[in-house]
Amino acid sequence: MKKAAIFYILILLSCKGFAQTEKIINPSDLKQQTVITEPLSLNKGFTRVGLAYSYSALDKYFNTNGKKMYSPESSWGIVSGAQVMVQYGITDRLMAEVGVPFKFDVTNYHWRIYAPGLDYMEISDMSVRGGGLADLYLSGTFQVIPSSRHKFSLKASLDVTIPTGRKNPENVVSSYDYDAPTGYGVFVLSPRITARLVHYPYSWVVYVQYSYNFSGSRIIYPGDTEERDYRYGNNIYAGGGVNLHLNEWIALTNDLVYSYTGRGEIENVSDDNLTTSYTFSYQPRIVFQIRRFRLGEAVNIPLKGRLTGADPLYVLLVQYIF
Amino acid sequence: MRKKVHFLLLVMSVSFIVPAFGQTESKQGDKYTLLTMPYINRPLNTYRGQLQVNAGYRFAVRSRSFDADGKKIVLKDDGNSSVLHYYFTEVKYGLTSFMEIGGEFYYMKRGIRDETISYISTDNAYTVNNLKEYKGPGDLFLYTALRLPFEYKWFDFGISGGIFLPTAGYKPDQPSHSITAESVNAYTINYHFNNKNGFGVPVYMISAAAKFTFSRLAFEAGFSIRDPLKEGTNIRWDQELTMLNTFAYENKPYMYLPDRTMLANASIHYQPVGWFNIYLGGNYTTMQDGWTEYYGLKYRNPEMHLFSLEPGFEIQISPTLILYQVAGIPLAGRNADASINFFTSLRFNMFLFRK
Repeated sequence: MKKAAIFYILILLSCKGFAQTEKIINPSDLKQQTVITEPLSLNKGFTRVGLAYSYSALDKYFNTNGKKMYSPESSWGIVSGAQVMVQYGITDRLMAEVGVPFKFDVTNYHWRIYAPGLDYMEISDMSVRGGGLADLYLSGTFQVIPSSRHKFSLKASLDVTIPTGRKNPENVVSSYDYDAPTGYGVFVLSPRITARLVHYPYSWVVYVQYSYNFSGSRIIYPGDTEERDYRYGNNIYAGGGVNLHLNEWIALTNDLVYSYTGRGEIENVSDDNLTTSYTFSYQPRIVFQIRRFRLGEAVNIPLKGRLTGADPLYVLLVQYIF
Repeated sequence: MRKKVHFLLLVMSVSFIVPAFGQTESKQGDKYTLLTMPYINRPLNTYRGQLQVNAGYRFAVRSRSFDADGKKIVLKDDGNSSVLHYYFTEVKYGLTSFMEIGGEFYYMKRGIRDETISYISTDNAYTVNNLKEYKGPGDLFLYTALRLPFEYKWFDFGISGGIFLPTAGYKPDQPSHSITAESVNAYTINYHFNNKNGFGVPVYMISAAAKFTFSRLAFEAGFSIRDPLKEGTNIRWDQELTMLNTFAYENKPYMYLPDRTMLANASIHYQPVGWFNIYLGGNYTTMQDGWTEYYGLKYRNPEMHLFSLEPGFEIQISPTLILYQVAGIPLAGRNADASINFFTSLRFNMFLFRK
């Protein structure tokens, strides 16, 4: 019996144990986490570079009554841009980011003018071009409740927009033919709070951001000869979303976002052209995480709004983490 | 007793060595295998008992068109570029592995602007904008498809036939024109026509398709004819500006016959791994033989031809979900819009009764 017991013990020792083991996390694994499982900021020493391209056609807008309307004139506009961004994890809870955006906007205006009494006809083709460097931003993020030890995490961020873009219209031929500004012309401070709860394969996220616009001076309307003091209305941007893993490397995120912009001023007087506006949008996004490489596609679909554009915005994003 | 203890201990010991939940090779025909079947090994139809739901969105930018001579026209130079939003859903069910039934439905909206024209005289100035909006559901399409009655190895052939039922309510709604005074004698007139989608009459469609697989490559080709069953009656809205600067509307009926449409497509697919299929397709469409009545006379519709290139891919996300993305790039044509379009769709597959 003793021999038999030794024999069985030897057999048992030869088999693989299935006991629970501590998971060894190495940096390579951390760099392959998805938008759902990754921490709210980069780990210490990690660098992420990315390029985002956005595209939207100017076709519809929300009028003062919140009704979605087509732009009636025979105009055609494209709003597009590219942004290079770099993120760096200073510590496991503190991250710095810089973004350098470029704009490639163009709106074409076309119309025909008949003056039968003068036996005159003219075809007019004009365009407003908004191409070039836009306002770059710097951002700092701190994990208040860190992601590493909690399913619930919270981060605070502060974005500073620096007016590096062209602030005044240039090469003005007429009010429909000029190089449009590519920047706001003023500094903008944007504090933001983001909270997230992860319950794999799902995560829930809520965020709120307030953007404070400093005052500045610029040429307000093309053709004006002098800059005037102005201040854009401040903006509040709040949203929340449900995200899920479709499989281990494809994530689908769904956000509902509300954005409200307050009334602006020109020379300390409230101006009708800078009146309040809002949008309520749905933002689905699908993100492919292929090891350290990330490819994302997102669409911003305005559902309701007032005095804003009502066209979907398509965004293509590529990122790589070092 | 001792022998029994020995036997029991031996069984317990060995049971630790043999993995109880080890991966086993899927049997051909089990649900998981069928749901994750790569494109190159998939027949043209759904399997028996398979329910397939497709939902997609197409975004098209109509910034070019081809004229009657095939010359490309830049529409923004004419002031009538537009975008198109197309939402699509399709449900298929495999009655057998060789016979499938299905239905398709779409919702589409677009607004096509005409050139803005200003008329200036010594007394008045009028600017006229013209917008034709197309918005609403399309016709419901019901069909049956048959394929060769044996398991797909490397060749398949199928035919299908179906009908578009005129469920869309083709007749246009009353226009919503408006006029605004810009100054004392300057006005802007916005003509806004509210059109709907669909054919307005029943339209049948018959198709044939073939598929070949060679190693990791597959070729698929198809041909379809879509033809109206009868002539239809539609209405055309006329408007008159009243003294109160509002519009009075009146509609008049007219006869029409939708075009006969022929579609030919071919694609080559490469499947490097089981979950990913990348392909390049070509699509040729021609529309002809339709007519429209104007003032009691029938005028033949311009004959339309369009050839587009369609690169795309599919990704098997999970056993039940497949993601498709395809771009449509018009290369040549006559009397056709040359809309660059992007189509994204999700395909959901399940077996209702198979375990």
